[in-house]
Amino acid sequence: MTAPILVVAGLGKRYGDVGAVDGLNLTVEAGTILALLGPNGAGKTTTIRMLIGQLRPSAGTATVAGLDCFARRDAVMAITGYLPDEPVFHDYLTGRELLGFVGGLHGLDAAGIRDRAEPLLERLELGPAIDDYAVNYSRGMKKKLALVMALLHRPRLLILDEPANGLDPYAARALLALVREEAVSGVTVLFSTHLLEQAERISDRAAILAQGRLVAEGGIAELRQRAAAGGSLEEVFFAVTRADGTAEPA
Amino acid sequence: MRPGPLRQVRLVLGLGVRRWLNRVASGFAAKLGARGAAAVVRPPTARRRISSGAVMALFLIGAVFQVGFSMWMFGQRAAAVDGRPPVRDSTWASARSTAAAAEPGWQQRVREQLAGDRAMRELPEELRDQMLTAAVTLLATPAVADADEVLHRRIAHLTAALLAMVAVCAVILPLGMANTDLAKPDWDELWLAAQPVSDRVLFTARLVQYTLLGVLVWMAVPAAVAVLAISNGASWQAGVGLGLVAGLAWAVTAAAIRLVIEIWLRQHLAHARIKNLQAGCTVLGMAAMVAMYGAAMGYGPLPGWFLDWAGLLPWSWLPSGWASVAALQPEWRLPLVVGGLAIAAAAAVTAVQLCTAWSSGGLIAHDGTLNGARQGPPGRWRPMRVLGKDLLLLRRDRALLVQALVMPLFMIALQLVLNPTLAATAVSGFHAAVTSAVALGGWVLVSATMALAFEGQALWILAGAPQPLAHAIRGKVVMWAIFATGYAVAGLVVITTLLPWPGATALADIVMVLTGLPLLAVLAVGIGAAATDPQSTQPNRRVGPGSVYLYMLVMGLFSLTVNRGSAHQRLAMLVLLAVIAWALWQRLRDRLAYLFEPIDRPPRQVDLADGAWAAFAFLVLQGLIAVLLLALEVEPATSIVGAFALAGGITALATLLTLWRSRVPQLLTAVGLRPPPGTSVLRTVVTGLVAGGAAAVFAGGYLTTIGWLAPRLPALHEMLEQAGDHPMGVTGWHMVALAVVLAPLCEEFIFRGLLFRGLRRDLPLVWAAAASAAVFAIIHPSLGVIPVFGLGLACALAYARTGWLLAPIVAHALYNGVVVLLSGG
Repeated sequence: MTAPILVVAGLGKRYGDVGAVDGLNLTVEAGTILALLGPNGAGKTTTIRMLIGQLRPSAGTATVAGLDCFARRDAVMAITGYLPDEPVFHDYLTGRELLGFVGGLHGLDAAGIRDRAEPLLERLELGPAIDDYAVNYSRGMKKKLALVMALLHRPRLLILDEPANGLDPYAARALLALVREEAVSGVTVLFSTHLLEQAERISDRAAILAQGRLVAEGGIAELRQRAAAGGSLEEVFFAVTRADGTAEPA
Repeated sequence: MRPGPLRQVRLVLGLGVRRWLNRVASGFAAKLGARGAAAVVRPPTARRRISSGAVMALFLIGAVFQVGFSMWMFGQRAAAVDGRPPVRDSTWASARSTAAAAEPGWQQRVREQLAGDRAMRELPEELRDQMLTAAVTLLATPAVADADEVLHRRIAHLTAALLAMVAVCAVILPLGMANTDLAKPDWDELWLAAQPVSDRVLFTARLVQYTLLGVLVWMAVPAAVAVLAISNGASWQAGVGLGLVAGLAWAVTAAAIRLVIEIWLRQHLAHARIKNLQAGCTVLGMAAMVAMYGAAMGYGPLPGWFLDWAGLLPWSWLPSGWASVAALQPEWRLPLVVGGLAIAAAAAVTAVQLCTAWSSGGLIAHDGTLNGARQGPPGRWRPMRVLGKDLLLLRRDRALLVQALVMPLFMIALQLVLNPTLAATAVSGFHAAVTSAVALGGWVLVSATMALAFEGQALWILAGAPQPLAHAIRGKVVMWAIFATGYAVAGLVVITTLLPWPGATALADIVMVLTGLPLLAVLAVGIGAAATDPQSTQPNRRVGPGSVYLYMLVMGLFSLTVNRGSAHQRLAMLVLLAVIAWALWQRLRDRLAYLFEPIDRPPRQVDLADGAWAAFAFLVLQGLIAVLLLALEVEPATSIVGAFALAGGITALATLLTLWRSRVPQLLTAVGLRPPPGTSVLRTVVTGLVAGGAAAVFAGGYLTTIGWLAPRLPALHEMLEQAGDHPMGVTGWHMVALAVVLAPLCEEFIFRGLLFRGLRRDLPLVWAAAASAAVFAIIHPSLGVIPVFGLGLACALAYARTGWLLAPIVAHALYNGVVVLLSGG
């Protein structure tokens, strides 16, 4: 249907003797939501850090819209938004100033930042706190602010590292609903999580990693079928990660 | 069963001490250069712990000896207040008896006796003369004879005044910015308070920890008191014992005061406020520290400001001064020791009681400590770049502001206050004052080495921006360049209003300031950024400590050139700075893409740094080898030619080896030693001949013009005469070997193969050629600068056209051959 925006071919990363990711192949088509699943230490964060150009692959390539993630990091980041697992902000900068800063780095003007940020802030109920120093935010507020920062330049690809990790149900729901809406408007989303139920609820497709390898990939319905009729993603997860002889069920 | 309170104190204390030791050990390890794969902070291994322990022990022993020696000198100097020179007591006693005998000519004999003392021999001659005259006058008055009692009291008083400064430092410095725990939202004490121990135990443990780890007190007080006591007649056992007791009493009291202040601050102030206060403490503490050094170190009479300070209060009656009285007056020893220990014990008990009482309602009573206290102004939407963001942060973070912009002023001002000679020199003339302005700007840039590290863990925001990190850092360079130049310009403005304008030469000084400081800013930010490791979770390891020293070295060289250099040397310095800065940024840009990479390093290419290193090594080696050969009585002409050949050969081999070991792909082609496929030898040679011929024609025209101008311009004539005064003594075949064979081979490899190649990575052809030619020209004697620039340009273009060094080598050989022929062999 549409051209793939993210293409990962034979991607591998070794830290010295330790292999973190090995021979990963993934193709994500524009407008889909892909959940990157796997037990702790499976290589999810390493993969994400290669996609945003912070780590250089030891093998294979990763491209966003045809641009190499490492060699063309700046061009990739111009069309990609990234939400880290635990965003840390500068002391002494308010949420508004941080958004101004990120907008400035993306070349937006004041009107552009306002028009984009204000509806998002309202959606996430961050408005009243926007003139507080961001270091004082609660964990959920920090994550919401970082999400607005990631969406500010209307990226075509959104990469989220454990987006709902450590959030209360309200915050998690608000955040995920927003992500879902972005996807409907055509943004491609890749997010890592270890919450299977969440992946099942919002994503179209899932890729399961175990010990750095891709052990299952496909549409959510398709994956469920694979376990047993009417099986859950959880069953698939345990089946493939344990079948690989690696991870203990969480 | 729960452990008893004593055991609890020991457990909590053990944790704190172990943590401190690990931190110091890793700090030492970083300073020793043991930076491994720093992605993870690991606890020090047993071996490293032992080695860093040994280093620490050596450091402590050295410090104690240093303090002891300084105190001994201080005692001597304190005795010299009334005109007694800083000589040993025995020397003074014999001089006194000579004077008392009052035989004819005693004045001359006293002078000789005193001048023979070692302390006097180390003084500058003028000062020594003044002191001798003062001493003779002093000895002529009879009352000096029985001065011992008075003298001891004076020394005790002055030492007490000095120790009061130590007391200020010991309490204030630990509260300063180095204490990163104090203003942290998640204070260590909060976690400990969640453990099943009482507040009293926590505070007692902390008090003991501060007592044991009060390094400043333990380094200064015991040694000072012991030396003072021993050098005034106490037995060494009594001296050392007294020193240790004094140290203990001091350490406990300082720890108690520090504990009370810390807990009070945490109870009553929001941590942003505490941070501001800490900035103030650092400034104050540093001032006290520098003042203490200024008073305690050095020879000659004690400085006047210290005597004023000593006259301020009856220091020897205050508890901080008791140690010095006890050291000098044995009859007071027992009561003062008992009193001092009693005060220390009382301070400790009171501190623990007070803190426990304050925290009865919880460790944090101030409701704004965690939330709400730090609120920004209500704002409008405003896009910001790195420069804007950094300026905003600097305005709000007072600690940063003090460190970056107040400390430099302060350091310079203190230097001037403490060292009157320096102050006099600094304003002795416009040129000297400009050097001070440069130093001021240079000091500001010391903080710029932290530019990238300031981002801290928020670096992910910049790393996610759609620009290379190097672009973002450019904003930081601009900011620091503005600060440094601004400070220097402000200094210049003050200077021009105070000092007479020296005319046109001042313009050269101003140009140096305005071009040199921005270049230094590029270097400072670059050096710091290159040494920054964002993976490190330990703040003290996030920037390699060597970077500051490296920057200071460059800054020192620059200041020296501004102060002492000739016009040609200054120009060379600017070109050198520009090349180093550029080379550094080239490397940095490669590295920044790998900033978050724990393992991989950027692939190596030939870059400007290789060229700059090779050129530098070539010049230095040439000089060294020539000196060596001349010392071996090799004939001068052969020495020069031999040095050139050896230096060229060594440099080329070392560079090639380095590049080969760092796996530059297709190395020989990359540096132009192997022709690109399909290159015709004939065409290469012809290109070289054309380029060399053009350069030679240009040089001929230039020399003719100069020859025509010289009789008409006296200044030029003089310059030519001077240039002619330094013949190298190289003639005949030596000259031919040097000019036509060796120079083309060595210099083309370095300046075209490496330097031009490195510049070409960033610059269009013509600019790269011009820049490499400028460097090439600047290392030649001033008369040849312009024609050699022409040659450099021609060679670079010939090399770019053919891709093989043979072309510029032919051009260079032809050019040099023509020049040798024209100048008559």
